[in-house]
Amino acid sequence: MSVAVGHGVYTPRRAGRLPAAGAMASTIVLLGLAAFLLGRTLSPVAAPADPVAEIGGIPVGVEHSPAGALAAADNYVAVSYASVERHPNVDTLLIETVYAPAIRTSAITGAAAVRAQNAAGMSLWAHGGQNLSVIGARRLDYYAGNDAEVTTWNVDVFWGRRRPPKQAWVLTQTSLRWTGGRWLVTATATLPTPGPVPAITPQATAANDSSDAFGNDLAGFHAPSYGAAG
Amino acid sequence: MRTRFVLALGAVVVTAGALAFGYETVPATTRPNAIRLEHGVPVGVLDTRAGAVAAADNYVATEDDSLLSPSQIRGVVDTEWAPQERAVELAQPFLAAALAGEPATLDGLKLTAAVAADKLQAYSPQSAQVSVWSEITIWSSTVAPTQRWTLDTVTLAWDSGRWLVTSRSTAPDSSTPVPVWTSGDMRDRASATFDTRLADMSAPYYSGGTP
Repeated sequence: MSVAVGHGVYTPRRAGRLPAAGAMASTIVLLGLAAFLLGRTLSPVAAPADPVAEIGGIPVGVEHSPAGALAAADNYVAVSYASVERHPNVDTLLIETVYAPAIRTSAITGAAAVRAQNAAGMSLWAHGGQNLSVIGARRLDYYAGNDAEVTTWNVDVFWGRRRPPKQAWVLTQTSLRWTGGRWLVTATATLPTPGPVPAITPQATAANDSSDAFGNDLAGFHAPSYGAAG
Repeated sequence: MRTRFVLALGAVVVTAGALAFGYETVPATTRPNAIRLEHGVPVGVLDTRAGAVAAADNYVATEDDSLLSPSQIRGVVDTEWAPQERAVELAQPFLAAALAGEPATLDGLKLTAAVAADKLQAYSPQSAQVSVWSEITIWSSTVAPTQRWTLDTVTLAWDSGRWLVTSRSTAPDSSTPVPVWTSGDMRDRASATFDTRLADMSAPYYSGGTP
């Protein structure tokens, strides 16, 4: 048997170097990995993540947890009620972004029906009407891994020129499914009455219950965005 | 000797490169959470415009939500307020009454608090001012569900990684928007309806939205 001698051939002289080089290479790889992870940790966006991301201007629930499901429902319900009549394009975008594909068509059709049935409301928006959609409280009805259901107590406050401010409270039930890294709506319904409506407002006067007061005192205000505490 | 030098240099380059790569490649779509819980109280921990709004929204809602619980009020104020302002806040009429117990008025009373709208009035990395329009609803078996709206201006200071309240001023009723007309009928407005339909519900947290 003959053994070729030349470049790349294992020889007794190199036998001690190869394990040493391998150890060095492993060390460098480990160093690199540790540095990569350290870099991620030091990054300013490495703090606990917001359970809601904004995709195309739509808040999307991206945390797979009970708190994440609640935050998703809070935002979906608020945006839906705020936009279904006043900003139909936003409502359609919401449906296309966070509704399950199976119910998107029916949801868009249903939203169009809501607009068609409320001529007075559509007239309000056409003449500069304002609204704020607010989550009063909510409850996680159930959470089972990839499925969740949330009941929300929410109000739409709206006003316009020569249209005194009004508040409409409802209970909304939202079914969610975790799909592709986000919570998608699989069903949504406004629950039948009675729904809690706080109707006594002792501090009201003709002055602070007027469209002018709302237009002036709330100029530049925005409805809040909803999250979860990390 | 030369080989060792090259290896050492390589190690330095790889380490520095990996550090920078890790720093820069945290997913951009992941934005940090503006709030975290401390002993059950939300704390604003993001020094941005949105972070200041989130802090103010949560602070107003949480403080109002604790008004019926003397044991919670002190914890909320201690967590959210600047140390030098805590005594002043705890001496405010609603808080002082709650701390005093006043069982005749608090017995069986329930409360929800919600932020309806907000507006960032001023921001710098050291301080911020946010206006918050919010509502409180109270009810009991003997008190019909009653609403109170407030328009607050909250001043915040950034201190040791969190926003702290340094003042909260409430506009007079005459300057506070109050929507009188409400939906529903007598059944919707009954305390019993509130008890049953809002059972086990809790107030939301606020995120401040897009930074």
